[in-house]
Amino acid sequence: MPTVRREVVLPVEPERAWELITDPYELEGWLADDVELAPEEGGEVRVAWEDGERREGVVEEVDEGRRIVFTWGEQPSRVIWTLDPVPEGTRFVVTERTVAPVVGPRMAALASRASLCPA
Amino acid sequence: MPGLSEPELGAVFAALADPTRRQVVRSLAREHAVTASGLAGELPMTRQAVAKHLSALERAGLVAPRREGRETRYRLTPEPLEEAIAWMADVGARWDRSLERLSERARRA
Repeated sequence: MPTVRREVVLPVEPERAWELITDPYELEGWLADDVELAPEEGGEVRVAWEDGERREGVVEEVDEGRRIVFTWGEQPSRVIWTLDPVPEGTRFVVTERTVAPVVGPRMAALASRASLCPA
Repeated sequence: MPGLSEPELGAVFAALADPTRRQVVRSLAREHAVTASGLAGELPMTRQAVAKHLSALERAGLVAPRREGRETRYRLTPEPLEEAIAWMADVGARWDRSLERLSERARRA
């Protein structure tokens, strides 16, 4: 699955970095224009940008202060955010990758074919 | 994104998730049009295995068959690949913009 990976070192302590990536008020300052995110397993994610793009999803995994995983979008992709303390502050790594599609019979057939084929 | 729908784009990604199919795609990229037997001759797999991979790639719109007399030749139709690359560029650009704003915000606080 194609993956997009980005990382940045934030000049703040991990506690502050966690706040920046989980508090909806903070998230609206950088992630998107309108953000709802409940940082707990099963929590809802609703994000909208001014350009009309919007994504809805669900939080799959939370490791308080270190890692949060959620899926979003109609053809879902999984987003993994991790925080790691470094001498300069906190490293924030973002990974987004499409999830095996499960929409419609044609897609299902293709997905099962993909997993059955020998490598 | 223009062109392919999200599920179609998913089909392209699923088809390319398999390393053997990526190998088939590479071979097709080198030669203009080949038969399943021709591909089997240069890849470490049987003609049947090649045919199976070709049909998965065909469903994703990545290859197109053409009958020539008694044989079927396959050629690469790379448009869906371009769509996949566009997805990555689009998603990557959005993260670039977001992380730039995040860095700025972190510096201010």
